[in-house]
Amino acid sequence: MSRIIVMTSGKGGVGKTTCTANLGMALAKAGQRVAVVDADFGLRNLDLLLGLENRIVYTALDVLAGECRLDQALVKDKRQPNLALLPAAQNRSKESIKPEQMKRLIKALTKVYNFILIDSPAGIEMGFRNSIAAAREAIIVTTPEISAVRDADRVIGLLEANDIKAVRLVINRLRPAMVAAEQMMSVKDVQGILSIPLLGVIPDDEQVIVSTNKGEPLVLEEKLSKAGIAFTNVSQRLQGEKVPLMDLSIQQESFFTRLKRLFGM
Amino acid sequence: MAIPLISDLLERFFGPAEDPHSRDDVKRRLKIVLAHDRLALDPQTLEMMRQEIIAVVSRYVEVDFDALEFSLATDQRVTALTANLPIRRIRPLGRGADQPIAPDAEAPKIELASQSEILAMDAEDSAAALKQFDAENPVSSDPIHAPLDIDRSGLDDEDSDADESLSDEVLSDEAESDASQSKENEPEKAVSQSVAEGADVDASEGAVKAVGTAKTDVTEPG
Amino acid sequence: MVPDFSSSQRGYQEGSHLSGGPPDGAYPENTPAPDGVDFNNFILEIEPEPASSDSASVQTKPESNPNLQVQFKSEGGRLLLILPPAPEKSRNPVYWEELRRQLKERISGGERFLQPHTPVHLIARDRLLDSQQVQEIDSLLSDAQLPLKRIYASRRQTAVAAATAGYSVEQQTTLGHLGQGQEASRQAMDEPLYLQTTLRSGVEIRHRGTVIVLGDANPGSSIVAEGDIFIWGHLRGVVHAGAGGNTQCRIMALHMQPTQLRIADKVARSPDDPPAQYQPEVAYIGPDGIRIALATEFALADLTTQESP
Repeated sequence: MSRIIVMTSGKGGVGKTTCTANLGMALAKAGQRVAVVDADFGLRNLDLLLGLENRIVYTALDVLAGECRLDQALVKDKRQPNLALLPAAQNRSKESIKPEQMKRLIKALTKVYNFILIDSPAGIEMGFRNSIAAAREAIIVTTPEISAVRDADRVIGLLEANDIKAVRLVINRLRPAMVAAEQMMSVKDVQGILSIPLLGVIPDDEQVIVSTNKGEPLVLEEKLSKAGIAFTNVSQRLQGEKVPLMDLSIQQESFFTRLKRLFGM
Repeated sequence: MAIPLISDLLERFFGPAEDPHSRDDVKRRLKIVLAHDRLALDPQTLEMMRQEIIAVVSRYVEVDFDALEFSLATDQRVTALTANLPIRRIRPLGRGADQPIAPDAEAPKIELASQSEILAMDAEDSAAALKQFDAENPVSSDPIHAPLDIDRSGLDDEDSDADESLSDEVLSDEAESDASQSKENEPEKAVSQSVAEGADVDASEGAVKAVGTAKTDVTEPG
Repeated sequence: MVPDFSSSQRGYQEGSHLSGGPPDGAYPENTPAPDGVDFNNFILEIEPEPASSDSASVQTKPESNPNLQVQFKSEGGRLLLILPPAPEKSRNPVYWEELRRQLKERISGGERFLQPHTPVHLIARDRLLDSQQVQEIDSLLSDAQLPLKRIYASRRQTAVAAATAGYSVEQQTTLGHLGQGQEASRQAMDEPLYLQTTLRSGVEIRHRGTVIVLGDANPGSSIVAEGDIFIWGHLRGVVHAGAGGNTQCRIMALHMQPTQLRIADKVARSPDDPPAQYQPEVAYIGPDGIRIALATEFALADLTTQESP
C-alpha cells in the first residue's frame, strides 16, 4: 500500500522542507516511487530546495480548478525520475485549499506512487490541517531547542486528536559539541520529553545551506556529508531496515588544532 | 585576519567561560511548561479546579490548607495532577457517611481561602475558625461515631523530631479548642517538615504562614 | 566528554528501536495501492468534486476569462473602473483585500497616464459592496485626483449601499455595451497596462492586452498578458505573453532572468548558465519554439513580419 506521511513540526525553520526534499530524494534513489507534495500555499519552498522552481507550469490549485490533469502538474525530477513534486501555488494563501480537496489529490497520487511525503507549513492553522487531512503517518521534525520542542509537543497532541497515531521523531540540527558541553539538549533528553519513537537524528551541517543554494538535495552528493548520511539512514528506516544511529561524537580538539583554528588555518 | 583581543585569545584557547547546566535548565523548564500545556487548562480554570477539589475533600475531612500542595507533572505523554492534602482529622460524623450531603449543603465553616488569604492566615485565625467550626458541629456521643475511631495508618507521627521547631503557642492554641486534638501531629508533621526545609519561622505567627510561603503550589498564575 | 549515543535509556534504544516501517493499524485494509501503471507514461486525474447542495458552489456557467482583475478602461472621456466578478461565482475568487491591492497597484502604477480630474465610473458588476468599501474605493481614487462620479451595480444591495453613501447609482443587470462579454472572442485587446512598480513574489498580473512594467518582476511574481510584455528592469518571475494564443507576441526585458517564459502555448526556461553581462533581450517564438535574442540584433529584423534573425 502507498505510505502517506506528513512532515510537520509546529515551529517554523526547523527543517521540515529540507527533510522532505532529502528524504524524498533518498527514497527515490532507493527505488521507491515518491511524490512530494508542497502544502505550504502562498509561501512555497519545496520547489526551491529541489531546484525545480523553473519547471513549475501548473500547481495543485490548477488541478483542483480543472485547468489541467494531475500528471501535468507533477514536476518530474530529471536527476532522479522516481521523484515528482506537486507544487503549491505561490500567489494564493492557505485558505485557498480545503482538507477535502487535499484528500482528493493525495488519493489520486496513491495510484502511482509508493511514498507520498506532504510538506506541512509551520503553524497549526488551516495549512497544517490541510496537510494532515490525508496523512496516515507523521514525522515530527524538531531541533533540540526549547521553543521547537514545545511546539512539537503541541502538534503531537493535535495529531493524536486527529487520529494520526503513527507519529515519529526526527531531531534536526543537533550539535554534539554543545550537547557534550551541557549547553544543548541531547537526543535522549528530547526523545524522553516528547515520548514518541525516534526515527533519526540529523546533525547540524553547513552543507545544508550550500545544497539549498544550489537546489541540490544533500543526498545526491557523491560523497555524502554527515547530514546526507543521516538522511539516507532515515530513508532506510522508513523502508523497514534497522539502521543504528550514527556516531556523532565529537573529536576533542587538540591544543594545536585549536591554535591553528585561532589563526584561521 | 583581524588581530584578536587578548580576551578573545584566552577564550579561544580555553573555551568559553563556563555557563554550567543550561541543558539542565532547559529540561526543567520544558517539563514544567509541557505539563501545563498538555493539561490545556487556562490558569483561571486551573485555580477553580483546585478550589473545588479542596472544597469537596473538605466536606469529608478537614484539610490543612496551609500545607496542601498542587502540582502538575508529565511523563510519557500522560499528565498527572498531584494534590497533597494533609488531613487534620476526619470530620466528626454529625454529617456522616450515612447521610448524603445535599447538593446545596453548607460549605464547611472554614471559608475556603484564596492563595493570598492562605498566605496571610496565621495561627490565631485558624484556631478561631476551628473553634467556630467545632461549636457548630458538636461531636456526637454515639459510640459508633466516636470521633477518635480513625484509621491512622500512614498518618503516624513516627518522626516527630521536627516538632520542636513549632512554637508552643501554636500547639497550645489548638490543644485548647479540642481536647482530642492531641492527634494534631499529622498536620504538624507536614507543617514541620516544610518548616525544617528552611522556611523562616516566625514563632509568634506560627509555622503556618511560613509553610504557605515555602510550599506554594506550582500552578499559581503569574 | 564524548556524548553517549548508544545508551539504552527507557524509550531510547539504538538500532532495533529505531524502526520506521509501516506502522500497524495505520493503513486500513482498503487503502489504495499503486496500480500497474506505466510509470514513465501515465495520465492521472483526481476525482471530481462531490456534488454539493451548497449554494455557494459554482452552479452558474463557468466564465470564459476566469481571472479578471481590477481594470481601468477609458471610454469617451471617462475612466471606467471595472471590478472583478463576485467571488462566489468565480473559480479564482478575488476577495476584498486582494481587490484593494489590485486597485492601489493599478492607480499607482498608471500614475503618469491617468489624467487627474477624469471622472470615474465604477462598474461593480455582481459584486457585493458595502458603503464603507465604496468609500474606500473613492478615497483611493481621490488620492490620484480621480473623482468617482457614478456607480453601476447589478446587485441591489450594492446599489443601495452606494446610494446611502451619497453616490449616483445606476442599477443594471447586464454590462451591456461595456464589452466584458461572457464569450471568449478575439476582440481588440485592451489598452496597454502600464505599471510603475516592482512586482513582488506572490503578485499576479493579468491583462487583456500588453503589459509594461517600469521596475522589476521578482521571482514568484507572474504576469499573464494577451499581448506583449515589456519589463524595463529585471525579469525574474514567470511571464506569459500571448496568453490568448497569439504566437507573435514578444517578451522584452532589460535583464532577462525569468523563472519561466511562456508565449501562447509554448513554455521555456532560461538557460542554466546565465550570461556574464546582461543586455536587453527579446523572447519570441521561432521555428523551434521560444528563442531569445539580443534586443539590438532583434531590432535588425523586420518586426512587421514573423521572420526573425
